[in-house]
Amino acid sequence: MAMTPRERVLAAMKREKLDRPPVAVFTQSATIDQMDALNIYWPEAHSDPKLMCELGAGQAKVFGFEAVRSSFCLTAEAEALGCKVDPGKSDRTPMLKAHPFHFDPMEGSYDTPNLMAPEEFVKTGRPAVIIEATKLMKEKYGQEYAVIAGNTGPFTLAGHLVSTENLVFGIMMDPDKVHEWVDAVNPIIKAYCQALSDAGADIIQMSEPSASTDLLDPATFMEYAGNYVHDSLAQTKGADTVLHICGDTKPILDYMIQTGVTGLSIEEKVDSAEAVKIVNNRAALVGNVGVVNPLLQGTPEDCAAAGKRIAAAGFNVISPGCGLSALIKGENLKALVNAVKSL
Amino acid sequence: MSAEMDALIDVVVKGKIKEGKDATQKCLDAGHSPQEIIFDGLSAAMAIVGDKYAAKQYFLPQVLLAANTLYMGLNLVLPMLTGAGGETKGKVVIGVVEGDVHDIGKNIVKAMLTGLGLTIYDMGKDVPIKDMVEKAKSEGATIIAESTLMTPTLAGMKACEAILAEEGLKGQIKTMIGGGATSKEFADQIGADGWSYDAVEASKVASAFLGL
Amino acid sequence: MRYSDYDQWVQDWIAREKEAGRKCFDVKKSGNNYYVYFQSTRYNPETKKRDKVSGYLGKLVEGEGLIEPDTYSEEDEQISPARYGLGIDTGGSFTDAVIIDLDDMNVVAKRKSPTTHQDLSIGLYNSVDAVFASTDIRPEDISLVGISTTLATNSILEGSGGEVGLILIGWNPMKEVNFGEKRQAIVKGGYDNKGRALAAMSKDEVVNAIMGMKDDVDAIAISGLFASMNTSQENKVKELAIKLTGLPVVAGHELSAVLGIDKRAETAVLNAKLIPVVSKFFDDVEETFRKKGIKAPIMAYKGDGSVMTLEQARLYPVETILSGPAASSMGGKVLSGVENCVIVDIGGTSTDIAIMEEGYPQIQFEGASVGRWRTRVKAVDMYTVALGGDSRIVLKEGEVIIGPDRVVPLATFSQRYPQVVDRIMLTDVYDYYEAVEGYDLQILTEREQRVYDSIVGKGPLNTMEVKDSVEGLWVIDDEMASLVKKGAVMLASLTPTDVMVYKGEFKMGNPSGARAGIHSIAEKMGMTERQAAVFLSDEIKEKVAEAIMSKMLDDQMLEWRDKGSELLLRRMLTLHHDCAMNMRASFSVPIIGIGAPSKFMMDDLTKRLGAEVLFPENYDVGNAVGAICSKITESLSGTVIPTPDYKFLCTVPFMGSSYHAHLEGAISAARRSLESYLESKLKSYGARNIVTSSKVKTYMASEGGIGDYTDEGLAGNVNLVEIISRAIGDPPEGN
Repeated sequence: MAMTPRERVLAAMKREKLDRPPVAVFTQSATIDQMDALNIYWPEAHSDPKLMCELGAGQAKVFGFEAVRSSFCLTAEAEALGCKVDPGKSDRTPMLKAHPFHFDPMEGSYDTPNLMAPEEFVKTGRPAVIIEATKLMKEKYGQEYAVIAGNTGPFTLAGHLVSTENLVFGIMMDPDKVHEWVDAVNPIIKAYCQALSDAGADIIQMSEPSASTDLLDPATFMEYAGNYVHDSLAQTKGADTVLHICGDTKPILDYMIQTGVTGLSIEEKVDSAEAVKIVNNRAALVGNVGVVNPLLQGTPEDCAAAGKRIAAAGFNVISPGCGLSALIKGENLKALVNAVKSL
Repeated sequence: MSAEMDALIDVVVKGKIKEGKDATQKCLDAGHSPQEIIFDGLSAAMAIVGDKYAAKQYFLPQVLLAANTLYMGLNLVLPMLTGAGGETKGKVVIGVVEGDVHDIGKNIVKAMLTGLGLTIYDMGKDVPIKDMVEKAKSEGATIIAESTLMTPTLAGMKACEAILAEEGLKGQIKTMIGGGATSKEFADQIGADGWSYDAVEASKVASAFLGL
Repeated sequence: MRYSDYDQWVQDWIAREKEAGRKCFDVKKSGNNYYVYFQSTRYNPETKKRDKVSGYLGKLVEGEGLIEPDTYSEEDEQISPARYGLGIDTGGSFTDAVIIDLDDMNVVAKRKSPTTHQDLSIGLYNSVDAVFASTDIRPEDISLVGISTTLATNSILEGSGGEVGLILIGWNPMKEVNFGEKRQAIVKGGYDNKGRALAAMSKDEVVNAIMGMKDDVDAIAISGLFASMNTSQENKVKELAIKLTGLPVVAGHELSAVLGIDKRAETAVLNAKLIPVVSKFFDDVEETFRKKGIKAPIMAYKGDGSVMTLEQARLYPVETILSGPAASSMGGKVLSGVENCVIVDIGGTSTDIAIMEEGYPQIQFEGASVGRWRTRVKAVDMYTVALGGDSRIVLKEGEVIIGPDRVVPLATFSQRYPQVVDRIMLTDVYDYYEAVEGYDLQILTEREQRVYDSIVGKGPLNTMEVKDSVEGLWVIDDEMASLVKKGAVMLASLTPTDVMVYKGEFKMGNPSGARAGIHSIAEKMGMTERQAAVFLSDEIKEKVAEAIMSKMLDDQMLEWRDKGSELLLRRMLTLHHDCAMNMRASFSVPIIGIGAPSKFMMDDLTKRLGAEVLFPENYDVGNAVGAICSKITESLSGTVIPTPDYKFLCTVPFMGSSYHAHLEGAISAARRSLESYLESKLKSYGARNIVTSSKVKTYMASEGGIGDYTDEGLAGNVNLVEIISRAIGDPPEGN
């Protein structure tokens, strides 16, 4: 079919039957090869909308993926709310250096979350940069490509502010305090999602790594993460919504669907065919090519094989299972793209 | 196994932090030595916690609760052990490699290794490799445990191997790596002595290193 | 195997015919020609027996197949009475029963039934009933029955059996001795090494000894000093004991001729202990079989690969120890038709390896040991490894450990409890425990009882669920292991059987249970399920190869194991050629695989060991076949030694000594005595077609080695001559 990449991706989000699924990076997409090709590098691209727009489109321009994506990390929101962030290097994403807020369940002492108002947030620091970059992407590339805007989930963000370990510990010792914090963060995220949609994003992809089964008991998922995703991301108007969680998400796939998002983005620890079976067409499935293996450490043949296998399993969009490592070689990405496109 | 010991194990497994110190004291009162309490009681309890974690019955929160209960007991008896000239079963330097700050995994491993009855030197996160090696040398640690979630920091683990080889310490100080970006193949490639998939495996690797 | 030396095109034709369902034929080779005969059985109402009907069908021509003759006449049909044998073997997991055509050793019917350990006879009758139900051969048609059981071995291991009274003649032990007997008495008497009495026995003393123990024991054993040289004292005591007590009495010399009054006493006591248990068993079997309509003589299988009558079995039950392994060795030989080979019998619990030489298993020189008991019974030198189809597979730090525990396979367990499949897939834990209801708690410790009470009636629980169920106790691994060992709790886990089921090579139970176990291994090893199955198969097969090589090496030198030799062994057996140098063993005799799991667990053995590996037809019931296809044999050794006065002293056990002027004469005398003794012994058992033979081994002074003595002139250099005689006969038949 002679669809534009944009049409294909949006159709895939609606779970339409296509001749082949689209191949696009829904998570962090920039790599050194793209930076070299475009002569735009991290860390500058994190804080300049024009540079972010161009580098975020690198996946399409350099390798032929079928979307463009703004934001390259999960630290923008935390920084705006007061965390100290190391901007990183060209091959390393920014890192949170300190948690500005006190949250100690062992001692039972907690700061009160006095955070800035949502309206102010979307005009502050790097969130504003990302919103602007999204707008620029829509103008320049939005005809041809679906524009994906990436951000951070409320539970993860709360963890960034108070230390994830303390927050998770709090679930056992002082659940009310945990709720207090995530409640405080949620309206900000909600406003952010909407702002990104208003700026022209076709898809908002939200990452909630702290809600992974590595950290959170599936039985507590809805209470501390799922409900908040439902109240923020899933309420976004004018854009499709995708919830991304790392780790073995098999036990929480049903819950992720319950949040009401359009699509789920998962990683390779879940067997592709099993995921399709469990999800049973209740949401779009995005993923789940392994980032370390095969993308970083495997051969182009391995990457091509993975793409074909996942397409055969029935995923709606073939995408890496997690944010790309900047060190991933171009030939591997090209192999993946070609394999899916030639189906 | 005495009733007091069984009770202590129960308290740690169930993560009753506030009862940890008391239960430990009761064991001391019943005549158990600090050795027995650490190696037969607290260790056994953490092993059970590890099993539950592996069986997906416990998740991070429960492990943290148990770990903190463990520390309550350990704070009481560890000084008695080392103070009397006794030794723990081994010394480990652990940390998250420079460039990465994800330390929850490292903290669970730390709890499991403490549960084995080992002395742990926790260097924290974003730790330069050179510092970890120096600490191991100065404290006489025989294991360096490195963790990272991210791929750019893998280079640091490779550097550690090079430093140890150059100083003739390979074999004397064993290295074990773990974390989302690592794999068995990578560990073999760089010459690390051990790799583990999760905290439970990590404690098995460390046990094997020390011949426990 | 009968056809193994036929041309390939003939074998192919036979295979095609069998596949098409046409089985009632036999192909005979004459020179370069092949002739096909039709074979079937018919009930003869006159003789009330089955007849074998065979007729000439035609000639086999290459490229054309069967060419039938132009005419067919009734005369071409030959009728002969069919002779069928019933063979039964109770193994660790299964009891097999087979019906065999005694003329051509063809297996006509075979059936398996689970072994019922608490009472072996139940499983035995089940399998016998099943095998008759599967064919129209009737119990009356059977002319011979052979039974091999683990009863004696199990009883010794479990320490069960009757109470024994031991009478020692003429021995003054240095310290207190006890071989497990309840009552002991030492009386005057005994002989010297030439068979001359050291002291006369006192009848009163003997009578007192017998009467003193008669009410406390179930059987009496007798062992006298040098009784193997002169049996009269032991015989006199035996006669008296039987007259006064009516109990079963066995003298040491009847069981073994080895030197060592203590060794003979140990064997005699063990034997006496077994008499009540084994007698009762065979009484029961005989009665039940007769009721079922089986009129044929019943033979009990011995541990050296031969058989004995039930009368003998009731008196000398200790000789039935290790009869299972012996039966499997003989079975393997019969089914494969190979006289020199290595037999590998893989069952549910263990792998037993024996070496066959000239049709008989190698015998353990020191006498068979069972558990901590060292008997002096000559039994097959079997190498046993706790590695079987139902051995537990454990993954420990990336290493696969198989056995020694035997567990319920996941496929079987999940058929009864399908709900565990999903749990295993989710948790990757595949050890499941189930308390056995109604267990007698007396023998459990207090902690074990707590665990048992916490889980009984709760259905299948995995390891962690068991621990969760026991309130307040977490460190209960020892208790759980003990409960399984004591039979209070059943353990199901991953086994080689499950790997076979997963790969589709064996149909049993619920395959998704097997798959769940494989899935767990796959997750822990970071492999796909298929890779994990291959990985496990490889490990299992390598361990079997290792067991076989270990046996071969043990025979050379017991202490060969160390890190270096283990590395060499592994390099020799591995199929992973990632090294420039590869080593491979080679075998000059074939390896025969029997037992149901053997085909799977040995299928790449040729590649690993450089040996020809054969799986004879009906390999899955090899033991039962062996139980029926054996001879009655007895062997005995005598010696000839030169004396200081240039004569030769010939000594034969039970028959005394004689002096001879010439070496030849001494050897002949020994031979004659031995062979006639053995022949009459066999006759007393009802054996037919008795053949005797002797082997002479000469130990020379000058060379210090063994040779076949021929030159009279070397007589002066002879140190010792050993004459080993053997009598072989067919078991009695009839119905």
